[in-house]
Amino acid sequence: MPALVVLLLTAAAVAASVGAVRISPSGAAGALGRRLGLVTGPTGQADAVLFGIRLPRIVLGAVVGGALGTAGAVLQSVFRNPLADPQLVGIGPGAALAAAAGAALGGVGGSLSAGVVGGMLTALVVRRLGRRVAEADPTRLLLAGIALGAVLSAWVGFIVFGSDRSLVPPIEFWLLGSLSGSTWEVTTTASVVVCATALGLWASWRRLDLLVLGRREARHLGVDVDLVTTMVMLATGAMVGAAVGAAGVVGFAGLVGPHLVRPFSGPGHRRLIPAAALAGATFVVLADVVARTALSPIEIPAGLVTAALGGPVLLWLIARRNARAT
Amino acid sequence: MTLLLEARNLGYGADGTRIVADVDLAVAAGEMVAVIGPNGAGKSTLIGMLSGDLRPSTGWTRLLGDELVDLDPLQMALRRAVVPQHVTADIPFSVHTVVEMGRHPHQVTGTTSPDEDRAAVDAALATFDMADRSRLPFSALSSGEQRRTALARAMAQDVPLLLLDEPAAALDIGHQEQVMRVLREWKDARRAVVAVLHDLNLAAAHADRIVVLHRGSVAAEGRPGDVLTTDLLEAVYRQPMRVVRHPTRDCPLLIVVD
Repeated sequence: MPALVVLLLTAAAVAASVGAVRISPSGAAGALGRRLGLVTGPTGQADAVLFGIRLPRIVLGAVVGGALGTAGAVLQSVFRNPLADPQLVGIGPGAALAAAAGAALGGVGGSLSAGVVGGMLTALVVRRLGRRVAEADPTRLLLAGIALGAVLSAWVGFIVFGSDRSLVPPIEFWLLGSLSGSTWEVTTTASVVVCATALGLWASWRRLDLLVLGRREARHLGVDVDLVTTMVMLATGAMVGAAVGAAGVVGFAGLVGPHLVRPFSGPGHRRLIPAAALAGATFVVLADVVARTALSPIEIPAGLVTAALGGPVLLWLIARRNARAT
Repeated sequence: MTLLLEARNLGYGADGTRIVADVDLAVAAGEMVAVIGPNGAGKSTLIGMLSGDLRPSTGWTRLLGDELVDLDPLQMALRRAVVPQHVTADIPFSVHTVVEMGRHPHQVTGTTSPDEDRAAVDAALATFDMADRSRLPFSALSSGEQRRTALARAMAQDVPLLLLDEPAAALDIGHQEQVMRVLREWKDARRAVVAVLHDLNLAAAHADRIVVLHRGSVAAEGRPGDVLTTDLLEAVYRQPMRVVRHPTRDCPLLIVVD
């Protein structure tokens, strides 16, 4: 766990220094010291870039990645399905639809809160889908999620193309995901929602552990399975909704985060949730560095990078399942 | 003698296609009751209703005096433990962790201490011969070991009533006997066991009372020596059988004949 914290801080430091304006580590440290009042000195361009642009973006990347990593870990347990990912099962597109509608009606503020509501509602739909279609075969949840996601994404497109371009971010922001919309206002709001829901889920680690035994077994051991599942799905939906409202559907962090750390953290949620959150956060922060610098000065959506890196992880998971089944 | 479990007029399924119908059952502390019957007789459905998994279409069940429908999952978990017929196999947790999960109801209500939990888990692991495998992941075990782990979890739950659906299935003959012996010693002045058993000789040797389920209803009920007769068994199982005295034990021995 300390190693994951160091990794995330290192990624953040790298992200803080690279970009159109290079800031050396010492320059960044100096700017941070000045901001905190530890040292005095003249502020310069580095300070403005660091605090006005890069820091909110890095924090938002960490918050989005942390939310997706946490949500992935939780969904994989609730559905007892290693392929469950908040975006792939359709929660992300549902949140994006609501967030795009919110943006059309109320600008940035409307986008985030609508995203949270949309995420929660879609999470409840996905819960029903999971019960109906996916009890027997884990891959069916993914198929249902893809179908649901396709419909919802199409509606995102209708809203984007049908509304005022100055209010609603473009389609690639929503469907690919990007941290380009980061401001302190967006970052702070998203952080509050994500941290609150993540803490709530983490506090439920014992019940989430029991759900892994199976719904019936969990009930035999005293868990009100229906109530717990509903609360967990609502929290997950809100968390993913905040992430999507702020940064669109950034893919695969919910698969990469949990699966990367599970060999070290073990299956227990007390360690798995924070580890998956940290890994997801590091993944998205680093992906955004690549997104900002790979084709510089052009910036590409961070979701392209996470998909390029995370897609193979999904393929590997599917291949591994087949290997075990035969 | 206190009744731990009392069921009246239990039925499951729609009218005309009842899987279980008109079952009365009373289980007192200190008893081990075996439920036997051919495939499809409704044994698992009955256990499902008694454990609160299935809502009966007729009748009611009382668990330590309170009707099941009035109890929440936690209250039920403090009164009965269940080992279903099919144990979920792909569980990534270690054997030790799975057994420790049996302590959950007590941990939630704060009626236990870490020392107490540890003692209960260690005792349950030792009882079912799983102590040396306790660090292995549950998914890596054989099906017999998984069953013993599930039994150890139910024992660590430390409640008055055990509801077991084929506890001896997938176990080798030595562990079958061991499990039945453990259950017999476990039941006492305040605890009882209800177990669905497929092996009639296991039921004959270890149960205090046998309930024979046939086409969803109770065909016979009583002490093994009284219930296990050639006439009844041949009628229920459609298989010629002979009932003799067990050469060393004080119980009937069932032999299949042609």
